[in-house]
Amino acid sequence: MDILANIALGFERAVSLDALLFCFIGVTIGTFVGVLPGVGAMAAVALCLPFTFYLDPTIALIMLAGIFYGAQYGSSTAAILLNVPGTVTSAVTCLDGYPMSQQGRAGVALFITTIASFVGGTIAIILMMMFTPVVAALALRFSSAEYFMIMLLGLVAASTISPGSHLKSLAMIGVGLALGLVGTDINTGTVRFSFGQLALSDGVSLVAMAMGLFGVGEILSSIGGAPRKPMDAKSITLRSMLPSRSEVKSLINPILRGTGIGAIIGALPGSGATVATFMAYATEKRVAKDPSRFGHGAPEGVAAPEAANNSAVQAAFMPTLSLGIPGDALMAFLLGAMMIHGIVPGPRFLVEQPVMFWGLIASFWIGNVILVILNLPLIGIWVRMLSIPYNILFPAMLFFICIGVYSVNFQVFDIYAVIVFGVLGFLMSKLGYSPAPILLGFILGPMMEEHFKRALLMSRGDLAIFWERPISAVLLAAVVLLLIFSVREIMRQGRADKQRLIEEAQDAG
Amino acid sequence: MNTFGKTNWWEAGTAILLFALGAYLAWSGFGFGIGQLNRVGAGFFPLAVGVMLMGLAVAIFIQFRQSAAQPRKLPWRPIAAIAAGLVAFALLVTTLGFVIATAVLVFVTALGDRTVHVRRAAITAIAMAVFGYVVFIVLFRLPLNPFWW
Repeated sequence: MDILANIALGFERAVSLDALLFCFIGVTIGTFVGVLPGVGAMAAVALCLPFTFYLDPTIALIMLAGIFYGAQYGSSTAAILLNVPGTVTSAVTCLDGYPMSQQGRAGVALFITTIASFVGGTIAIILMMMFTPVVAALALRFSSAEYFMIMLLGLVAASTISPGSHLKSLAMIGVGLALGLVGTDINTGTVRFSFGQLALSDGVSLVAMAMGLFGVGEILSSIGGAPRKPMDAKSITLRSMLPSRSEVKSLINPILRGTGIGAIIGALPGSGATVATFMAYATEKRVAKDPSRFGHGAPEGVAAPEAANNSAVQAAFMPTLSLGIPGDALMAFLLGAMMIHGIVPGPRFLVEQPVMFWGLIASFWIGNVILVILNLPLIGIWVRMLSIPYNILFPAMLFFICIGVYSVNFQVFDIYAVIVFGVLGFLMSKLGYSPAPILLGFILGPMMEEHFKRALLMSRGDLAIFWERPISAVLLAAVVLLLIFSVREIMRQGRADKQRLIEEAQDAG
Repeated sequence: MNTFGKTNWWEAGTAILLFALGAYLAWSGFGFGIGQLNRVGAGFFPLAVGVMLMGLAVAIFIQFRQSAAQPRKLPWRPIAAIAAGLVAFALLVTTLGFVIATAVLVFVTALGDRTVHVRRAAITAIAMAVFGYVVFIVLFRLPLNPFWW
């Protein structure tokens, strides 16, 4: 079998000493930042990117990806023990995980999340191995028209599926697209929006932007939060973690359902792991015989979202690697990181770089195994991490942000950019504008412009190319449908707001 | 609270800023040259994005201008401390060297948290400077001047 040979090829690369070492480093950093509330996976990947420039691209990717999925494991620890999600994707885990720990079953909850995460991740990796080559083979026949449409669909989907105001998400995508315009236009050589700054003629620095929006932004939102109470690490022993046999049996189905939901949502463009966890939780609540147990420490409420979360995170690599189209902000950043390393993800990536592609996927599974070891026998270490005071942690993070940004180009300008993006990201999120779509627009914008121009060059300026080619037409229809849905949703929200305001006015009067 | 009919200037102001950004993009787009459909110019995408932003800004203005949401009080202290710390690093790293820049950065930003004691901030700063020197100068050999000489 072709696939088996490829998998063998991948594992051969992934078990080499350097790959194992950096996979281990990646997932350890990931778990670390995942456990710590106020440090997201995004900030951590952005922080580590500059230091991977010296590494072989495959190794660099293995490490960066490891941080990403490692953070998903770690973040549930904080959610269960402190009721503070380490990253947004484990917000749902708080709902039942924290009540479980209040009932003295923290160990069991941690065990369930780790196993559910592992099963979800593993199944998604197998699905990825089977379907990524299929998607890539299909995508080899795509022309620029299809690529433009997929990206447009991705952007529209990302803003309509995400929670919060659709209008504001769309506007943030527009801001991202605008930022993506800065720099030299490759087709005409025109320098756009550089404001006479030499540092801007190559475009806005991706690292500075991500670190500002996500790193500094997160720090600003976290400072002055409630002080965390120290945890007793000794109370969580391996023995206290084991669930009963009947409990294990009752969790098989929730884990499988969560995995399925996660894999589908994760593979779709524009929808990330966060949506998957909410959907998995809602599904469990709906199929449960006694929904009232949810929110009071139901193990299914922990197992299904955690499985969904990890399976979505792994599945999200599928469109990123096979089409070169990221599903969410984090994938967009990883895509940007790959391009900095000189790799262009897309259908040709699989054919031209089989060792890198299959090695990366094989490393995912190895990373998941390492994560189980890190999160079960060594859980005590991470629980102790939770007692690091934030006022030591955040200045240290800012130091890493500075040195990381500065070491990319040794340009002081980039540090100032971090400040601007940090304050901007923080203010925007306070006003209900989420910074994630900015990154998506920033990465996809230049690619869309390129494909749009190429498609029109191909058709000699006939816009009909976008609806005369069948796949492009289907994608266009999907975009239009999503936009109609979105407009209706916006109108409904608007009417509801107005109604509420009128009622409030009447109550007051 | 009676908020009906009152303009929420936070929301409205953001919408106006977004509109201005869109208008600027669109206007610059004309300057770069729109081109033709078979030869799209450098200004076409800025124009398209600009028009889209202007439209969205109008919609946001209409929908949110009377929203009751108020941003909580801005944390001026952390914002000022972080900005000052980063600016200090940017200025010092090329002049007094990486080690001093690190210490100042960590010390100043640490003061952004109200709960921190000056002594703890100082200890963290010195520890990070030593750590940074060992890791980035000695181990990673970043081409940075550790000191001013």
